[in-house]
Amino acid sequence: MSEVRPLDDRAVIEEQTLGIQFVDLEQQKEVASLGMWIFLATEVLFFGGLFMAYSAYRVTYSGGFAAAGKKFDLTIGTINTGVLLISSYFMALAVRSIRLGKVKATVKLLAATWGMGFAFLMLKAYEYYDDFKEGILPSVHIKWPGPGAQQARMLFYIYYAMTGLHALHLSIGLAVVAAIIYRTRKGLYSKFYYNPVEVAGLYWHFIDIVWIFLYPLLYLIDRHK
Amino acid sequence: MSSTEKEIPSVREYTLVFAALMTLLAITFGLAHVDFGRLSIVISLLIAAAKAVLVALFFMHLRREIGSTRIAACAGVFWLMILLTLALADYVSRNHLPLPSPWPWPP
Repeated sequence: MSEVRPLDDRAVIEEQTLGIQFVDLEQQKEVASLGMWIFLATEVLFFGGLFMAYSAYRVTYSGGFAAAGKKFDLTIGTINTGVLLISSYFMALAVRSIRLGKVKATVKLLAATWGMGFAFLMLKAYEYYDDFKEGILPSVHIKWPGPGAQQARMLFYIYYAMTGLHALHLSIGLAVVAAIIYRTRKGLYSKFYYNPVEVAGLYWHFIDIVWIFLYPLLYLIDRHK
Repeated sequence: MSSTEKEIPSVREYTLVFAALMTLLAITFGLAHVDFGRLSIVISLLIAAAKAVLVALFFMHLRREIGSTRIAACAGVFWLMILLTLALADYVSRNHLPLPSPWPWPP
């Protein structure tokens, strides 16, 4: 704890963290959020390509997709949606805590967020393992007897690409949150300077939103066909 | 946005939003077991959109952000809509507007 700052002294924080191009800490925070939102807009289109591929094949391969879509585990999918929503709730509270200057509470809430994200990944890994055993995970081969095999294979490829890219983002999110926890404990963030916490929160909530749309498209859509 | 304590949302606000999100999840899970035919996916996507809007407005503070940040957020959705609308206009209409000659798609 060599870098402890007097966290309640606005002037000291301003001198240590304010970039020369900014008028004050508030403007710096607005710019940090704007930058993150611009990055998230590019992420929307990054995932958008996969959502586009999914939609196009859902329309052209409707028969095979409807039959194959029943294979996905609705229970794990639903629990995972809940787990991510809880993690987002903790993250929102963590950002609130640091804005109030409560460093210890922030660390605890960030740790809870991390734990929920990790739980999601573990459940997802278990689901992949289950898919692998059933022979629907693109690996060595996909076991799908009968008609529509080619169409079913396409759904499994897209499922794996979409959930895999999402899991990769969540893994990066876990690393980011771990770094933020470490730096919060070091006393680098306070109620006057909390931009990295806020921005990490935006990224985390974005990952949640991607899953909010994956859930109906992969797990709910084919229950009645 | 200044970080005076007055402008920081209350725990109550976050908890209400979280409760709404979990309720929507329960509703969409429940409705998945009811057969609405082709409307099913429309309903579950509308619920997903409602959840996403709640997360963006409250958890991501878009409600309290400055104008340029809101424009950046809307821009992402806007360009995504261009991608989906223009491409799907082709795919969705293929069954209704048959081509005069055989077309090698779907293979």
